[in-house]
Amino acid sequence: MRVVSADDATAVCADEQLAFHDVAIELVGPVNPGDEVIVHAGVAIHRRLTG
Amino acid sequence: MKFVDEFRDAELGRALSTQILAELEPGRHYKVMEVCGGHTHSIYKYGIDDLLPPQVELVHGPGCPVCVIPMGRVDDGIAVARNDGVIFTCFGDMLRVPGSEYTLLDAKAQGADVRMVYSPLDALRIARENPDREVVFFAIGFETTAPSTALTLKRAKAEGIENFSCVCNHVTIVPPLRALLESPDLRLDGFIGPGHVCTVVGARPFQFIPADYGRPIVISGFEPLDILQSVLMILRQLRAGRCEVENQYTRVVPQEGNLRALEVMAEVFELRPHFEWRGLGFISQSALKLSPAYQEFDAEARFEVPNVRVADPKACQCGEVLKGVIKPWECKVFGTACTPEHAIGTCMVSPEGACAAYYNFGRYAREREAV
Repeated sequence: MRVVSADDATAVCADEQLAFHDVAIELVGPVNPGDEVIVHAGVAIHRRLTG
Repeated sequence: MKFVDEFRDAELGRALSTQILAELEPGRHYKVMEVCGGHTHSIYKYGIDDLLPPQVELVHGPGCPVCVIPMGRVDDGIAVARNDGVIFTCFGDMLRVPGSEYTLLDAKAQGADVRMVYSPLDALRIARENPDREVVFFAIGFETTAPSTALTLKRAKAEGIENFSCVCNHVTIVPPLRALLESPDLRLDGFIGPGHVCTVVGARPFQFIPADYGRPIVISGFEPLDILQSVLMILRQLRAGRCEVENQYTRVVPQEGNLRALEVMAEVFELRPHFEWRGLGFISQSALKLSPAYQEFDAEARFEVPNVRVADPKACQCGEVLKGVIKPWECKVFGTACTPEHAIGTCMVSPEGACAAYYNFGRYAREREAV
């Protein structure tokens, strides 16, 4: 999923169909809009930085 | 979409298929097991086996988390759900998994308050919104999903939420793989490793496959080109006489895994001495339970559960499918008595189950072959 916006613990992410999801990000650290995250059961387990 | 579309390119797929053909040793038949339900789903959805030569056979392993849940654990969940005042939550797939008599969906129809959630965090939100009700989450999954449950329980503890608990059925992938490799029924040449499990645990836990059993394993992504490239990497290892853990999914899987997720899991869980797997029987240290620090959230301690072992229906051959001994279409009830709408076995329930994936995507191709 792609991060759309984020605060300390939660990010709003868009999936392949452009549906939006709240995702917990404590396990991957800070994320920024545009980052790609791998999400399982509402929790990001991997973050891929942009650029 | 970036990181997706480029891994579904048909021309590149055909090129990989040609390279795979070039790696075959004359007269040799290769059996490669994928051990993640996500791979099984992709293989049938994208027709990947159609791009492989007949000498390369993909065998489906016990990697679908819903499929490996034994009937007795479903009965335990139903018993908890039937308690007055309980809101019972689980993933959608789990609703239709048969217990000895009923599914959780049946229990809901009979009056239990059973709700589908996408995340254990949704279950925790329900607990916050219903402080006068007991909210129970039926936790299933491998090391990909266990961090979600662990994080949820950490939040529940930090917030002092007392009306939330969890039936913990989380399992770990290494012990069943070792059991399969010890099995005399199955001769495997290599493994397609579970990409997202490795995102959490890293590559190191799989070193035993080449070290102890002399088989290559390639950790793989889930797009069609990922899987084809992983098959190619396995064949290249075999041809070169190499045997090691290789990582095809480097864009996601770090060698050491996700240390923060492992830390949270170590705090919240500990290994069960043994756990029953559907079709595989009891396997030592193959599942997780809540650690002493999180006992207050253990639904099995909070509610009475039957905790009875239930034998699978005689007609169901999910056990053989999960061990890769038979293909889904070789099961006696596949597509007749057992369909996704009326599943007898767990492999027909989840989209990641080999039977459901084959029923949904593959059976038409086979029917065409028959004609």
